Amino acid sequence: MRNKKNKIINILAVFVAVILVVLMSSAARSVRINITDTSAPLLKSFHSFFGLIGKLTPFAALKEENRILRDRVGLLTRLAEETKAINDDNARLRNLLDFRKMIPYTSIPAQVIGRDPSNWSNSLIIDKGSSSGIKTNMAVISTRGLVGRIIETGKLSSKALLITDPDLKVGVLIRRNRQGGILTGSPGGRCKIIYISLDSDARPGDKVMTAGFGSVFPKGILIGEIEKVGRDQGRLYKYAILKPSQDLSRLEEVLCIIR
Amino acid sequence: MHNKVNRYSFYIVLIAAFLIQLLLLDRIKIAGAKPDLLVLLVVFFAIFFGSGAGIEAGFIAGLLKDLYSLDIFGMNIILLSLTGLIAGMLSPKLFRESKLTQFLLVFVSSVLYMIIHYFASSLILKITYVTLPEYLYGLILPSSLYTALLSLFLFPVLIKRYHLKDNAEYL
Repeated sequence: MRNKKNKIINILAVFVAVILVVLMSSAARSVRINITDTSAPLLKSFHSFFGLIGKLTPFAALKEENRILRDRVGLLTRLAEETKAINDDNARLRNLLDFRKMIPYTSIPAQVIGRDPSNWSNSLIIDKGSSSGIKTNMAVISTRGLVGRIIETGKLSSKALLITDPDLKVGVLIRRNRQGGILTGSPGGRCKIIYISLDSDARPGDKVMTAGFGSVFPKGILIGEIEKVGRDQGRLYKYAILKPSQDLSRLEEVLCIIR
Repeated sequence: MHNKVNRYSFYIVLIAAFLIQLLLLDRIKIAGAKPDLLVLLVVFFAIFFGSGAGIEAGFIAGLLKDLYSLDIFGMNIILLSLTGLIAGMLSPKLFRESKLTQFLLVFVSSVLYMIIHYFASSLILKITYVTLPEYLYGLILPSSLYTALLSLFLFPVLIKRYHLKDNAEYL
């Protein structure tokens, strides 16, 4: 009897949750931005902490060997590794700065401080918001190509939808034959180009870049390389699977294009 | 003898898992799939502490996911609460101490959660250029398998953490 009562209470709890969600959904966007914004400094410090651990781990074996040989040398080695990590950061940021000078757009550099917790959408949380000049629909790039588009902006942080997300659509061109298509995200960290005409000779290895249609993405930004070309039964177009020019799950810095 | 579990510890575990999911799990992606620690925890709380705890964990985990994701707001709250409810209801009918049962329950819960998510998203957003088989083989099955494999290592740690051999009862 009690068990049955508990089950009814549990089912009722789910219904209450559903009603709460429906009531909250209209205000959700601003609540979501404010919460991400408020927690951005905390996320940034957690990110730096985990980043530091990540940088030291690959050298753990070397440090252990040195510790056995000489404690003092071990200490010096650790100091050397920390300096190397700082130098690596320096080189990467210098590279980003050079790239920033080289591209014909004005841009705002930002650091990645978080990623989408769900398996469903692919997005990044960056440490710059409207107070730094970030606006929704800005294109986001890295030194190696297109990353995505700004979707939500808070004062101190923003969220960017990645090119691997099925909700993002980008007009693209195949560099070799100048034929167009629409790029969208695909599962498995890949992208899919749809609406490629049937007579297209697109083939694996072809480089793909932004077409510059619309006002979001400037023309000519590299996106990646075609891996496979195919045709679905009964469709009047071909499709292509594209490998992004960089591993988007390991991005640390990005540039938001002002134009 | 019932062992009461501290509600704060329950929330701390969920928040810690969420932070790991948000900051670290992308680094261990395999072929674009990453494990879902929150689904794993919701199923754990549901099978060992009952439907009530499953719904509570599902609601909190879903809320955290919805707040930081660009997913449709509310989708994860509803689906993870339902996952907690169903896993909790199934639990007394199964031999929950068996590793195989735990593995299968996490795998099936994750697959169902993602399939329902696919249909609900398609209904709300109308247009999707990615078909269910593409999702199924490209994302749903690999990440569910990854999550279920991770449960084989994490469930014993959590069982030990909550002293579940003493018939622990949530609150």
